[in-house]
Amino acid sequence: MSAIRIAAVGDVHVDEDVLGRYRPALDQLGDRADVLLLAGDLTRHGTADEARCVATEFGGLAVPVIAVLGNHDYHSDEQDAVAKILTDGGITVLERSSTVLDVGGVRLGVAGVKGFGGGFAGRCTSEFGEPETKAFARHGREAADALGYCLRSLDCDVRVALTHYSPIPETLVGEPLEIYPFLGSYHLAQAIDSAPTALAVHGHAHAGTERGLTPGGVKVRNVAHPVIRQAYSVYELDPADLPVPA
Amino acid sequence: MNEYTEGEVQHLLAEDPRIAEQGIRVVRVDDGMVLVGEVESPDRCAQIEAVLREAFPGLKVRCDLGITRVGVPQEVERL
Repeated sequence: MSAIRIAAVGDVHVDEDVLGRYRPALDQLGDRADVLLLAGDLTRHGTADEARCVATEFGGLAVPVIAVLGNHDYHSDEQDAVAKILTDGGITVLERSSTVLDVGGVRLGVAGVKGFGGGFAGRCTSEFGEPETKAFARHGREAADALGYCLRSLDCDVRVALTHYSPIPETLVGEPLEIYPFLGSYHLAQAIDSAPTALAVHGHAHAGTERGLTPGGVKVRNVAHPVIRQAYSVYELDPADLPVPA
Repeated sequence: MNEYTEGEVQHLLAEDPRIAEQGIRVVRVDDGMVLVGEVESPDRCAQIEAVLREAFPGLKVRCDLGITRVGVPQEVERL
């Protein structure tokens, strides 16, 4: 089986003023990668108009495009319209769901969820106290549970987890410690480690760090645009080096 | 600029629909504040400056904001 090249970027915050900026680099994707992953915060305010700009900028590429939405994409309560516009533009939008692509005979499975905050082991929220606190903790845990289920259910050769929020604190280094609970949740890492996942990709933390590992040893990459400072990063996975399902 | 003003600026950066930025750092300096970070277009830098000057007319606001580059990656990371 040949190696798979995965391009990824998040937090592109597209609106009319960004149209065309990414296109010169995106037009070279066919020579550089097999798939493009978009790690959420594709828009500024989550409006249908902005989603049309995203579909224009990231649609019609030489490779399949798979996305999750981020918190900005929910801001105007138009997330369903945003997802539909992207889908109509040929972008596969995942939320508590997965997809499998054939990449040169290798079955690449991608499970995606926006995820949520909650914090990291020993320093996290719990379902205790006021309804608002319980709802905050529950939303993060349910998103992570769904991601774990999707990853474990995938029938594929190579598994990738795509989220907006971070599964680990290492890729948040550079952000103020005080806001870590709003940037990710260790339950996402638990979900990723519950399956033989090859790579986890997220965004959200603009001042974070690109590289980290889950406690189970899965490589994590923060592809927030201000972190990678290029149109996309490309990661190559060789199926021969990847974990084998137990 | 005191701590409360810094807090108000941070809220404005995220909540004013003309800005909607959560990744900008506010740095307090002797004669006002400097905004540090990156945004997606030159228009957004100008807009942020204009909104802050409108909301805090007495405050000296300087922007040290970059436009995030969109170049083609020069290397592939083998995992």
